[in-house]
Amino acid sequence: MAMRRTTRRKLGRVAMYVLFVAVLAVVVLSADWDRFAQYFLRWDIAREQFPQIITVALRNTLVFTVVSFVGGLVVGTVMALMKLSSIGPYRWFATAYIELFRGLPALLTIFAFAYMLPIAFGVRLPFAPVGAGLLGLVVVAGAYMAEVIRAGIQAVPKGQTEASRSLGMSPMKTMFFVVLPQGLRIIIPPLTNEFVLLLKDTSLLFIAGSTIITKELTTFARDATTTTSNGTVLVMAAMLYLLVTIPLTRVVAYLERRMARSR
Amino acid sequence: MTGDPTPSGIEPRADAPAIEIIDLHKSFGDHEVLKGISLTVQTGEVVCVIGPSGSGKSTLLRSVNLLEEPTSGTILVEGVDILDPEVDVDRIRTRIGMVFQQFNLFPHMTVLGNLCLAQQRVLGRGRKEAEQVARENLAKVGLADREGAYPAHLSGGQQQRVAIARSLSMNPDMMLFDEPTSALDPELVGDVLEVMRTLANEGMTMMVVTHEMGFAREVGDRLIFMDDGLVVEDGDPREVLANPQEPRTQAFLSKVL
Ligand SMILES: Nc1ncnc2c1ncn2[C@@H]1O[C@H](COP(=O)(O)OP(=O)(O)OP(=O)(O)O)[C@@H](O)[C@H]1O
Ligand SMILES: [Mg+2]
Repeated sequence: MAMRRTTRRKLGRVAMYVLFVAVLAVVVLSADWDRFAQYFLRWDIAREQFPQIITVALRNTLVFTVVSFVGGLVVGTVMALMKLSSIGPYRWFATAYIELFRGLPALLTIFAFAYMLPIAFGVRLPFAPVGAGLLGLVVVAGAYMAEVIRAGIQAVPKGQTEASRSLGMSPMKTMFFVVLPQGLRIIIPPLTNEFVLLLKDTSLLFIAGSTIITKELTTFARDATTTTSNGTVLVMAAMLYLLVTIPLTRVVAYLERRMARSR
Repeated sequence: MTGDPTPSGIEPRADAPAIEIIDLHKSFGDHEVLKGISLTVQTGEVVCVIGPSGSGKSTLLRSVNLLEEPTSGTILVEGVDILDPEVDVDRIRTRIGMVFQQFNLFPHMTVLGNLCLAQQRVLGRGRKEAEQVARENLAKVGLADREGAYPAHLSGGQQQRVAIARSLSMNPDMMLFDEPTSALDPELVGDVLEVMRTLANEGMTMMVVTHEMGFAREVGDRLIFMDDGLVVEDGDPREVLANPQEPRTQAFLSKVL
């Protein structure tokens, strides 16, 4: 007896669902939750982390994110303009810069800046040792943002430049007052996305080392994990990251939808 | 202040024609688009340019304010050789208004912002003065009540009139129009042509690429027919339209009229 096609498909879907629930149940039931809670969910340890985990760690994570975002925006804009320049050496430099720092793991770049910069120039940046690492993060952010900004600039219709130039505006003024404001508006969604990526990448700053007042979330959690011999603070850090990244990701999705509509 | 006399050819001369084009050539790669154009536009003259698509009308117009760099030839604007490397192109451009088929208003600024930007950034006018000039020109194009609007909220005809007002706010000596009504719905064409007619009557020097033969006949002092990168016919609009001398002009007009 042949079953009807829709009936068969429905049965298949039910089977998949049963299998999924079964696998989930096996995993959940076979884990030792008491032991897990003892190592990762200790209330007493959690309580001890306040207020520093917010006032120092989360705050530093946000500050480092904003600093590297703003720095990256400036570096990225300069690199994007150089890449679009009619002057060959500018273009080559920007291309080399972008390829180099997008091709290297961010961790390696931060490490290199944190240890090579003070040796090479004999300088100590503010917030040493994290300052030099932060500069590395700015450099990486600039490389990624340069490509986004370049795309934004190129998305501005040529007629805008022509109208501006025919009013007597110089190339610089045209870029600054006419093209960039429009280009940056176009790329608000990808830039917000870049912000989320940077927020997570500030965790890489642990490699630069830190003092008590310069710890960001991940460094804070790692150090606390060592001193307490317990993973609770790692879980707390994870939740704090999500507390910021999930709403931001929602904002990106909203902005993208709004951009799509306004076209 | 006593200084050296200004080098001749860099400062505009009042007695020179508004635009003088001599043997202008322009190629894009191997493709020669302008094949030796010579023409003169006198101060106060309204010259309309017609011709088939691809004949080089836009390229000619855009060469006059150097949006296109000529391959060879000479262009004098008020007696200034604009291809002279000594010449400040941005300064020349403030004296030449340009109106585009696609309006090209700045979408991130209000109407008033569009009109004030170059006044403030190029002419160095203060905000008050710039806004006053802007409002006068908005009133002139019949849009005094829309200064706070963004371009996206205006009709095509209104946008084009704002674009004209934006050019006028620089107090140019001449205006170039590249098919200013071709992107408009037919019912919006009239308002824009009316503004241009007023300008012409006030004595503005104008070079107008257009398909509006009625405008060319009634407002134009001269009509130029271009084909294949050359000026084929150049004369009184009524004469050229009623009585074209060249076979190519006759063929073109029989198609469009
Ligand atoms: N930037 C450019 N690069 C290459 N070719 C071009 C460029 N601009 C124009 N051309 C070519 O030059 C020729 C003349 O173009 P132009 O725009 O001056 O013609 P037109 O008379 O204004 O035509 P239309 O009535 O369609 O506006 C066309 O063949 C066009 O393809
Ligand atoms: Mg054209």
